[in-house]
Amino acid sequence: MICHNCQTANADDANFCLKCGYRISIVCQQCSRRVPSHAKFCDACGHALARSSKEGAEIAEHQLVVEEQPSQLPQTARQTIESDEKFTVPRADESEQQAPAQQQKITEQLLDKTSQPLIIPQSQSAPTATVDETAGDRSPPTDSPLTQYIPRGLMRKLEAARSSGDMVGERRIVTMLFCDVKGSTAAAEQLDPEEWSEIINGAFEHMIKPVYTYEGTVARLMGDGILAFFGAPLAHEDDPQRAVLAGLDMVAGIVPYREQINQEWGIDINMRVGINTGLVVVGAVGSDLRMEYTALGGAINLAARMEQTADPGTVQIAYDTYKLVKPLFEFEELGGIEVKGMDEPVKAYRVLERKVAAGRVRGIEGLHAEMVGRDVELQTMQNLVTDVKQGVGRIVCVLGEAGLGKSRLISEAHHFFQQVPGPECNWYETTSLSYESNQAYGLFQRLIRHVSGIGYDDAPRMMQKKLSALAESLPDERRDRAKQLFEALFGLNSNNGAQPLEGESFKRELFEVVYAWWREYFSQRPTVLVFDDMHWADAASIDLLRGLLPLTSEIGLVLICALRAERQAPAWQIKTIADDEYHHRYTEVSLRPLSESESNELVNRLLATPEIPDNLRASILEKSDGNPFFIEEVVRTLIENGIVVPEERIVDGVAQQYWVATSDGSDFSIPDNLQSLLAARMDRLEEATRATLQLASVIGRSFYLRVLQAVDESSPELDKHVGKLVRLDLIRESARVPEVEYSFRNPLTQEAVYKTILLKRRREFHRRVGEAMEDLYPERLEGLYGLLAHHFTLAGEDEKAIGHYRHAARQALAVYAYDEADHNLHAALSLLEAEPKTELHLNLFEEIGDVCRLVRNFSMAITYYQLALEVWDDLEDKSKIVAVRLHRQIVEIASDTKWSVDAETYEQIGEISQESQASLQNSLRAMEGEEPHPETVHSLVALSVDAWRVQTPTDWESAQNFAQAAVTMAEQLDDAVLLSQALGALANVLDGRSKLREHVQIAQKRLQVSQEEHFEDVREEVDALRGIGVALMYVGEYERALPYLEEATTIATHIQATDQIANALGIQAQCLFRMDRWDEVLAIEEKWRDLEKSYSRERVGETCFFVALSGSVYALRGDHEQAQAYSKESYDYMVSMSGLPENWQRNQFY
Amino acid sequence: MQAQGEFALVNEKLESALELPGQPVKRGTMAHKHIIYMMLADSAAQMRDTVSLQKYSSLLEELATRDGHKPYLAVAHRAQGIAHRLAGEYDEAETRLTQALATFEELGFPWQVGRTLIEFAELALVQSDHEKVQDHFSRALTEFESVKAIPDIERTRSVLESLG
Repeated sequence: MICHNCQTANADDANFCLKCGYRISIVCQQCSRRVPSHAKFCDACGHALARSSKEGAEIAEHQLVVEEQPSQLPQTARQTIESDEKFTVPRADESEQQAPAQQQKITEQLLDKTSQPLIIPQSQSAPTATVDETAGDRSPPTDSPLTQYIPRGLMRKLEAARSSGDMVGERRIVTMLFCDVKGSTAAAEQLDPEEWSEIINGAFEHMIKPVYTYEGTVARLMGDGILAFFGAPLAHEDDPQRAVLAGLDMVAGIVPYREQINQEWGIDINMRVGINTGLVVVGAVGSDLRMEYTALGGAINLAARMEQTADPGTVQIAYDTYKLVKPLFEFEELGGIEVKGMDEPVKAYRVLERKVAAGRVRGIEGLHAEMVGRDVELQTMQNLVTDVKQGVGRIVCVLGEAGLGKSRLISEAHHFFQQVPGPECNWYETTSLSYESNQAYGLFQRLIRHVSGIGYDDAPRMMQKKLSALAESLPDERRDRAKQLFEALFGLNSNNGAQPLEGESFKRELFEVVYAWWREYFSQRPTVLVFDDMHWADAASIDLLRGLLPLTSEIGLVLICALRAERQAPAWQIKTIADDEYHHRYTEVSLRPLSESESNELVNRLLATPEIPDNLRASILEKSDGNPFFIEEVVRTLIENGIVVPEERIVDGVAQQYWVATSDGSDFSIPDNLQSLLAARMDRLEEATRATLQLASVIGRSFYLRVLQAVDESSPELDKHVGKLVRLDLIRESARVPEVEYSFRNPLTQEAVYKTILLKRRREFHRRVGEAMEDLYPERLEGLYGLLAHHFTLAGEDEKAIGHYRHAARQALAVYAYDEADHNLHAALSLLEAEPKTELHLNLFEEIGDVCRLVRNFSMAITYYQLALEVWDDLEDKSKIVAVRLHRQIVEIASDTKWSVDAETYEQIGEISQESQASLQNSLRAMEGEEPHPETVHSLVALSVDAWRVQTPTDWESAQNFAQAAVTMAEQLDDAVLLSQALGALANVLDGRSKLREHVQIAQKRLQVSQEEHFEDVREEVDALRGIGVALMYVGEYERALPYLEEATTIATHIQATDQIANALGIQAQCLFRMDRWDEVLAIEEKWRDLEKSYSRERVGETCFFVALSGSVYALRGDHEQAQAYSKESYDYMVSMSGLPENWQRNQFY
Repeated sequence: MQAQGEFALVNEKLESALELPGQPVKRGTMAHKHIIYMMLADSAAQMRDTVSLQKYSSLLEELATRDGHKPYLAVAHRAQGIAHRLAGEYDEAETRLTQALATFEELGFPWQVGRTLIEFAELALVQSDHEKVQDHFSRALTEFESVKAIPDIERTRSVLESLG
């Protein structure tokens, strides 16, 4: 037996639902058959079933418990809801906050089905013909009181939204509406509770009905007020607009009721509405359509504050809502309002009325960009509107997803249309509204309103007058009927005494009248009728429009229908029928996303002179994915967040506005209205498909199917969900080899979907994704470290994340991606607690120091090594070798920088280095007698280099002694690589001491060591080859040197060691120059230039050799111009590296 | 600078550099005295600076001999040959130049061979052996042409033309 209340499956003989306690079955008094509790008749004997008050009381008792104790949520549901601050529904004021017992009783009565049910009045505005349909669209009044107000279509959506039984919470951008009855406390005290409950029941009707009309949700009933959400559980891209319209309906709807209450009871009540838009965490529980919400404090408190400060009978909204609906309503600015917990007063606005001619919600105020990338489409549209001036009818469909510029294209076509010479023509535009898609003939109502000039505030009499005038265009015999039909469309009671219209006859007659009206009215002059956002048009209007399509062959009528490619929308029929049956008159304009260059152009046109960093620009383009609306919104967000700001500059005496970036800002958040737009799409998915999309968003913009399979608990049906997502163009298959991979169609979609997931669930999902990747790709982890670190960080698994970040950093270093390495290490560091410092801190400080050293940020490198040494000092269990290594690194920096930094920097480095050099020597002395250690060898090498490169005067003796000691220890360690390095150090000393033949001998020995069978350090092998080449060059044996250098080049090229390639090439060039083989010198320079093109000059190095040698060749060949150019290049390079000549250390003659 | 003929500047810079402490230009790239003496001797030869010629060619010869540096030894021989010629010691000059030429030819350095032949031609010129002058200049021209040393080619051709 399925519980009618919460859809839980129960045993067939169950009387009450095991989950919600709802009575789920009753016994037929006639035949004793057990039937569902909501049955009106017995399905065995047909007996009419009467529900006992006892059953109702049982239900009511359960509901009351839920309402009274919202904090007693099911444990699972509560665990899924996270917020910074649990929201307590605020009251209008302190006195009202002490809710009188009678208010509580009223709430109970309201919720108790045994009490007087709320009365649903017949819609006074619904046309006769649609009354039945409207009534039929209401949910049966047998469920909870709230459901009585819910249109059936919305009911279906809500039921689908909670179909999984235990919906988890989500983070959403929601527009929150608070409404309460003002003056109720005093009034309640004057009246008997029963009388007061009657009054307040009536008031609730005026609060609740508009909420559901605009597909919002009543989140909570609060004695004399309600809290409604627009955007949860169902999102619409225009939720703020819906909320404001609902608010206006509330304060307008209460007016006659207020008068009635005043007359009957002599008390004055009124209603006030407060609205705000912001992020909330929404959790749904409960067994009926009521939902409990837990919300982040700021946004919802502000909504409550708006209500509390609103004047009775008004709608007051906060800035975050105002900015989203500004073009649609008339407002009164109220200035800043103090809000507890906020430093600055919040801007508030009173909504006065809906604008008759609403402005564009899209676009950026104050900025206008020429249309980009739509030349062909615009030309097509211009041709079409030119044709209509010659009386040629057409049907045009402008297709494209949200934001691609359908409305803009039509607007440009209209502008052109106004410029084209020819007879006077009509151009009428009607825009369908998302919240009116269930309003029968809403599209035609708006068209008639537009053509006949009927305003939203027109009184019925005025409307009738205007409709009569419209009917005048028809032949006499049709006028009365036409007037009756038009009035019916507007819910006006016709007083012409004609027969009422019902069902099919209404449809038939309406069609005949509208057909006749169009033919008469639009044949007077060529006409363009634009139906924008037609994907939202109601089915009845589309049906009617289908029948009017033949008119395009009879009169000069062009129908332009702009719609999204949503095949399930009624409007899609217009596109297919027009294409099939009116092909000769049909034109389709499909809008595609802009290319990258077009998107770039749009950014340039929006911000006339943008000076924004490349990465920010790239981020804009990536996020917006060629969608002009997205580009505008992203740019708008950047401006609103102060990331891009205008700056006035005087250029040639004229003030010009430039747009400049104040920060990188490339990680800015998705704009709220885009979040809503994308969330609305997401909410149309089945729950399970939506859950799959959410999981995919956690994996990333691209995701392997295998990973998704591993983490999605609905794996058996995963293919179905993925297929659905592909069909809806939310994701697309991006690769099949080496394995199936999908990616989000748009990065903003991924971001929007991801943002709906509660933080706690995100952590869980990220952990599952990380673990799945570790399991699935154990052989490929090296390519995934960064991603794994990302997932484990967001999973809160810091230890694992730090490990992966360090791996990722090492991997980045291997490919010279120093920025990434630095980023990964800092990310790892940020996950560590600041205190107490641990060995992990020490390791990370040292690794960051290494990266700084590689990017030649020597001062910073030394800072990090010193931080590591400080940590080392405080460690309890520490190894001397670590300190030796850190001091050695500092000493090496001083050697490395001797001739490559300016004198001032070198002086700073030198001072620190001297301290480290002393510490290092002390450490080594302290370690004398201990077992040989590789680090000791490295340190001896460092001290050797320091002695001849750093110390002044040069201490060649010490340099040689340190190097010799390093060689001896390396031999003891029997470590070939270490020995090769130590021999290299010794060779350098001999070289420096001009002991050139001894240098050759040591270089040969080093080469021999490096070419042993199990020698594994290829870079060292290259260095050994280069070393012998250099040694032979210094003794003039150029011919012998060349093969070693060529081999060094080949191996270095094989391992892509650009610095070693360049160095070996440089020495070859020197040899060749001295051998007068000048053509070969220039050929080698070409190779070096190619390297420079592929990498950076800094990475390639050896600039001076090549520039000086080639310059000399050109000079010797008499090409002085070229020689001067090389001379200048050499000079500029030196200046770029070491500043002006006076700052150069020495040997500038070279 | 040397390639552009700025010999005086070369001397000025290199002689001051000799006084500076420390050797390496950068890690693994030394500026030995060999190369500095070689450049100073060569520049002195171009400027016919007999004092510097004597001084640096001797220093260069000593180091080059010690380390078996053939090209620099040849440069030292040529510088010495020029010094002897300038001193009127033509036999010693010829001996030194012959040693230089033999080494450069053995090493296969055409421009250096050409430059040494020019010195031979200069020696023959002061000895008024016009046949040898013609021969040395012609052979030098061939060497210069092989490396496209335009200024040397032009100078040599000009001399040959003036010789008829």
